Parts: sequence; C-alpha cells; structure tokens
Amino acid sequence: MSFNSTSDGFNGTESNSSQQASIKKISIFTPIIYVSLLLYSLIYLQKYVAKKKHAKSIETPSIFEDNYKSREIYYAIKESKFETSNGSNKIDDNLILSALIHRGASVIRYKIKLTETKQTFDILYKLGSMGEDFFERYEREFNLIELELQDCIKEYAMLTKSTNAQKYMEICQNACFNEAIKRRFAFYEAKLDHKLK
Amino acid sequence: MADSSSYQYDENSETFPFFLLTILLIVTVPWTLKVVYDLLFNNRVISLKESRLKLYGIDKETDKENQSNDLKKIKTLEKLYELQDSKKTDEFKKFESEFIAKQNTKSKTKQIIILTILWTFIAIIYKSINNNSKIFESGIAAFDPYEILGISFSSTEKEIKSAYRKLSVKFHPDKLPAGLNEAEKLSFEENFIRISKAYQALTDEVVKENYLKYGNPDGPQQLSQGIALPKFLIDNGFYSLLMIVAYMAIFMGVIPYFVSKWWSKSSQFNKQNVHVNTSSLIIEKVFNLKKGSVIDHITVLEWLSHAEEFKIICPELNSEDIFEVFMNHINRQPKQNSISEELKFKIIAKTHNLVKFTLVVASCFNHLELSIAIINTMKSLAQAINTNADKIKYELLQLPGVEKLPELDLSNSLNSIKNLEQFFMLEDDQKLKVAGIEQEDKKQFMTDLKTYTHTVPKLQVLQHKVKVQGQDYVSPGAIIHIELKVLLTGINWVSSQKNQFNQLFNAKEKLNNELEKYEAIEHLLDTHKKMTEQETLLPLVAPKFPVTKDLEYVVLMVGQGKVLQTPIFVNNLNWSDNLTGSNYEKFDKKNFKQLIDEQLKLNKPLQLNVDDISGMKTSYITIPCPTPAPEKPGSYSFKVYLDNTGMFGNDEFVNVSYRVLSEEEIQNVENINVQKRRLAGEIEEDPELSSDSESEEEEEDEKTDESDNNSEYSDINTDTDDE
Repeated sequence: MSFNSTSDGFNGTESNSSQQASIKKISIFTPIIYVSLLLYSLIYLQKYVAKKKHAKSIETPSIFEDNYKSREIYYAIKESKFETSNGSNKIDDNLILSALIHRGASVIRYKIKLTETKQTFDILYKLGSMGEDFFERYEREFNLIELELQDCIKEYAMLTKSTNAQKYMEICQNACFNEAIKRRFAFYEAKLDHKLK
Repeated sequence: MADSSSYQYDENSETFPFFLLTILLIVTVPWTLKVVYDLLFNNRVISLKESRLKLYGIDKETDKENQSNDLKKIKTLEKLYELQDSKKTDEFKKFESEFIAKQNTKSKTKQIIILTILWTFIAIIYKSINNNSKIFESGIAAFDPYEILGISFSSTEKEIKSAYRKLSVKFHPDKLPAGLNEAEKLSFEENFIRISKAYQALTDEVVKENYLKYGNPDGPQQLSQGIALPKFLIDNGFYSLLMIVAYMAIFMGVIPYFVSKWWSKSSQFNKQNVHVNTSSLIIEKVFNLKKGSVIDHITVLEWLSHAEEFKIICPELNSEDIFEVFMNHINRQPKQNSISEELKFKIIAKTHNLVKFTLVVASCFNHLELSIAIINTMKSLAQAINTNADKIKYELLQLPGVEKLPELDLSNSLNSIKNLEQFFMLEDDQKLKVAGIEQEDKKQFMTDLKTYTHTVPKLQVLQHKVKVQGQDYVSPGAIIHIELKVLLTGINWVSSQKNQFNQLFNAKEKLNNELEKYEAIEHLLDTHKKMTEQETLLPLVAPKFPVTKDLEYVVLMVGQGKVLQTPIFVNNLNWSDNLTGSNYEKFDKKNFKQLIDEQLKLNKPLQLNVDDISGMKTSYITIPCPTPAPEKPGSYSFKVYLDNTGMFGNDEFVNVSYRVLSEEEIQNVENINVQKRRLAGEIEEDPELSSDSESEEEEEDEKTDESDNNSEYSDINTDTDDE
C-alpha cells in the first residue's frame, strides 16, 4: 500500500459515492411520530421515577424520634369519638382540643429544632459526613411540618368553629415552652440522681 | 452496502495490530516496571517491630544517617511495645501481628498473573506482525530516493549522478531489451519513473523541498482515512451485528456496571469512612437528644452498638450482643463462650473510627456534655475501664499489670489515693499496696512502672495566648488564633509546677535564642506550621485495646457552654528529648518541688537553674478560632479543653482570656512600638547596650503581667473527682 495507491484508492471511492447520492422522499409524519414517541417515553420515565420517589419518601420515617406521635394520638381520639358518638362513652370536647394543642405544640417544637440545626446540617453535609438520603430526609421535614401545621389549623377551625388561627398558634407556643421547661426540670432531677448514685 | 462505503478497511491487518500493540504497551510497560520495582526494593519481609517503627516515622533501612539521633527514640518505642505486649492477651497479640503483616505484604500474585496474560498477548501480536508480509511490502513501497538509486545517505552529488545514469540506461524506455511482454514493459517504465523521481528529489530544488516536507516528490498527498478493522467485521451482516452487540455490551453493560459498582461502594461510606447508615443513625440520635438529658459513655456505646459496620463484620450478632461485647470489654470481664476472640478484636478495634465520628457530629451540634461523654467513651474503650463501676479510683487501673484494685480499709490513709499524680508521689511499698500487687511481683512491677513513666507523656500547658498574625495586640474584628505553649513530661511529673517551668523555659529560650527560628517567613505566613513541624507522638500505652492506638490530644473550644467548632486532633508534639533525654533521670523532681515550696514560703523571687531542663523542649499547639475577634473593645475569653483521647488523668483545661483594644489603645501601642524601634535603631550605632535591655525588660513585664492575670489553671481531674 504505497502513498500513491492510497490516494488513488481514496479518490476513486469518493467519486463513486458522489455518483450514488440520490434524494429520498420522507413523509412529514416521520419526524412528528419520532418526536412524539420520544416525548411520550420521557414523560413516562419522569412519571415512573416520581412515583418511585414518592413511594420511597412515604416509607422513610421522619428524622424526629417520636415520628409525629401526637398526630396519631389526636386522630386516634378523634376517630374513636366518631365511632361511639351514639354510645354512652362520649369523648369530651376538651380532651380532643387538648390533643390538638399538644399536636400543635410538638409541631412548633419540631420547627424550632429544625431552624436551630439548619447550620449544623449544612456543615455536616459539606464535611461529607452525611449521606445524600439523610440530607433529603432532613429537607423533606420542612415540607412535612408545614403540611402538619396547616392540617392542625384546619382541624382547629373545624373543632372550635373559629377562624382565629393566631390564637391557636399562641396557645401551642405556650404549651411548647411549658413542656420544654417541664422536661428540663425532670432532666435536672435525673442528673442529680445520677450524680448521687 | 460495500460499494457505498467511502472508507478503507484494514484488510491486510496492517494498522490494527499496531494500534492494539500500542495500547497494550502503554498499559503493560509502566505497570510491569512498578511491579518489578516493588518486588526488588519494597518487598522485604518486614518484621513486626520494624513495621511498627515505620508507623512512627522511623525507617531503619532508609535513613541510616539519622540513626544515631533516632536511637533513643527507637529504644523508647521498643520498650513501649515490649511493655504493651507483655500485658496483652495472647489472642489479641496474635491477631494484631497478623493484621500488621497483612497490611505490609500486599499480595502481588494477582497482578503478576494479569501481567503475564498481557505480555502473552503482546507476544502473539508481535509475532503476527512479524509474519504478516503485507506490512513489509508496503514498507518497501514507501518512497526512499537513496534506496531506489542504490546509494548511501552520505553520497555526494557526483555519486548520485553516476548512479542515476547507470540505472536510467538500464530502464530507459528507449533502451528496453527486446522480447518483453506488456507487463514487463510496464514495470520497466514504472521503474524508470521512480528513478527519475528519486534523482529529482535529490537534485531539483522544488522536488527536494516537496520530498523533505511531505515525504513525496510530488508534493502533499491526499490524506487517507480508514477504519483500523478488517472489512469483514463491518460490512458482512453477521460480523457487523456481532460488532454492534459487542459495542453495546461494552458501553451499555460493562462500563455502567463497573461505574455503578464503584459509585455505590464509594457512596456507601462517607468522607470519614463511616457507613452512611451509621452516620445517619448517629446524626439522628444526636439530633433527637433532648437538651439537658443525662448522657454518659454507656449511652454512646449503646448508640454505637447499632452501627452498620458491625452488621457487616458479624451479621450473626445483633446490636444487644455487640453492646454486651462493649460492656464486657470496659468492665474487664473474662471471655464469653459465644463470641470468638477474633470477633471481639475486630469489633473493639472498629470503634475507634466510629467514636471519633460521633465526636465530630456532637461538636457540630455544639453539644458540650455529649462531646465530653464521647471523649470519655474513647478513653474507656482504650483502657478497658468503666468509670461508672470503678468510681473515683478508676485512673489507677491504667497502670501496667493492674487488673483490679484492692479493697482498702476506709481508715487506711492510702484509700485517698485516687489519681495517677497522687500515686506517683508514694513510696514504692505504698504503691504496691494501692495497686494491689503482691510482694513477689514487686521487681516486675517496678520495672514496668519505670518503663511506663518513660513512655507515657503528660501534657502541661505552660502558656496560652490569643494571637493575631503580625501584631502583638488584638484589634476589633481581627482574625485570631490561640497559641498554647505546652510541655510533655513523664506521667509521674507534678502538674502544680507549671508556672515555675514556664519561667524556666522562657529564660532558657531567651538565653539560647530558640524562638528566632519561628520568625522566618514561612512561619509568619503559616501560623500552624510550628505545630506540624513537631515530632509525631509515640503510640498510646493501652494493652487492653486490640490494636496499637495513636496518642492523640483533642482540642475542644468552648464558649457559653457550647462547643464552638469541630474538634482538632493533635498528634504532633515534641516528646523524645523530654522523655528520653539525659536530664530526665537526673532531674530530681522531689528536690525541685521542695525548692519551690521553700522559696514560695520565704516569698523570695524564684531562683531556678536553667541547666535542669537543658535537654528538654516545649511544643506549640495552635488553634484557629471559629470567628474573628469581636468588634466591640473589651475583655473576652475562650475555654479550651485539651483531652487525651486514650487515657484518663491527663487532661487540661485552660481559660484563655484576651482583650480587644479600642482605637486609642491601639494608637498607644503603635506609638510605643515605634519608639522602641527607634531606640533599637539608635542602639546599632551606640556601643552601649543599655536601652535595649530596658525595652526587653518592659516587654517581659507586660507578658508576665498578662499571664498572671489571665492564667487560671484548673485541672479537669478535680472536676471528675467531685462526681
């Protein structure tokens, strides 16, 4: 394969191909079908991924240890009330209201804790100490408490027939602080016991 | 399909083998060289002793010149290992030496097998190239005017001409021999053209230039592109399908598989080499910790028992079993039957990294109490001591050979001996009683103790200051760091003489101008260089811990009951001169103490002898501060915890206070400095050195004043004792 022969061969093939080039008619629907097929498959994939993500996020528990327990308590009380509304053991309205306040108080506690630790989580994430999953869980928590708060306010409006959400929030906040003080006090006692032991 | 293609294929395997050969050689040659190099120079079977020394920066083979300097260091390290090994259980000793051996001799057999296969491939390809006559033909066909004319490269013009004439006579179309057929005629003609071209290439200017530039007398040639694969692989239906399948398999199967495998493996462990599940668990636990709740090392161990790492090491054990292993370890309880010693070895050794990570998380959450509990967990695991069970006296359990402390009568005065410092002040016989050692073991115990005091350092903070780089005062908003001057002595030294030592060392450093080296430009640029230049600390004496642990100090900065920044681990401090120096033995600690006590009683100015400490060295710890100095002038302070991560009774706590100066004060200081400098400038011309000493005295006064006001040393020991 000398230099000369290479160039000859190349020239020869080129001239062959240029002779053979011809125009082929393509239907207008071809690109349309192509694009729509592509779009459809992309949309399907997106939906599939979103569905999977949603299923996963429902499964993963909250990063709070008690995992919205007060919410469950509230609904447990409420449902048992509706079931036995015509029976004798009717549940007091005050009980259900206090459960709702407890629920609101815990939401406020969550909120305070999340905003307090925002910087810490950022640092840990930047340090590379935290897995992606956990950080996502943490970020999801902000949305969750927002939803929870809205739900609480809705329930409050239903129970008391008043639309004064501000008052409810104030009560919850006070309850939250009182709970914190109570807990602190208990811890100090425990610590004292621990030291005396 | 074949006709429509405008590409050339490598029908005769002229290019493809070269391509393959190049790629193979690029990979194989450097790899082989590396393996051969390793085999020749790095594959010495290193003894346990040597590999241990290597960990602490001493390599007997490579730095022979340094050996005399390091000799004492090596001796100390060897003594340390001897002491540790004599106290270690046989099982742990065996596992540790296996572990170290495994780390040092990386198996090369796998690499060698792969290399052999690669070289076999190279040999096959090389042979096929050699056997392929087509390649040589095309090589011959290349244009070389010297070869065509049959002359050497160094021929003169005359020789070229004569050679051309001879050949042209032979091949000239007019002078062809009779009786040739068409083909032969054509070849003669071709030859003639080649000859004349060759001649022109060597004589004609234009043609010569063409030849030199493009390798061809006709000028630039059309570049030919081709595929370095035989045609049958691409154009033929079956093989082309195979080719596509192979490509698809590689790009859609093999590469994504390996990448995803690598990715999932790397994303499984975080930057601190802790499993992400474990890290999530620990972060969640710390996050959910209620403010003010009671936390101790047991809580931390309970958390750690759920770690994913242990599920990987021993899937058959649940978290309760792991927790039991921890508790048995720190309670120094004898073997259980159900869990093998090897598993225990692995489990306890793994905790090191996990506890450290937990400390980082706790400090990120600014949790002081938890951080201290975690540091205690580190110590508990390293020394196998449960501080809850052995109230008050647990420090003494760290002494070599002490398994259990004897019950002393309440009336016995020795009952008040609680910590190591008190212990080392006792007479020999009293030591035996406190540690519960029988008389017949006295000799062994005493030699062990002697080694112990030479291998276990005690950290004492001599001086502390908040500093700003390049100025000797703190201005508002300046970037500050804390500088601690510390001294490592033997564990048996008394910690109440820090002030005296500080004065001694200051005097000595001034005398020998030892601080001048820190005024070099690289130290001014990097404040922490001082610290990194220091020696690596010797390993920790912890015979109960499965593997040899590094001795590390952890620095926690605390303000308003909160940890201010992630902990700093310090592993670089000068120790060898202090623990092995000739003055170490000579220095009479008791005498020194008496002297100081007497002088203090008489209220005399201290009279100390600098020669006492001539061989010793101080070290520096520099800590960057998380925030710049406050904008408002006034007095502020940091609390600094300096904890040994591996043993009890060797912690320091200092309260570093500093003053942020106002504009006026700064002006004053600057003025004084300018005056001083002016004075110093005059002194250079002035033969009398009176004013220089004055200014120095002033400086000294300032310093001592400051340190007197600021330093309030208090040992963390006393705190824990109260509990």
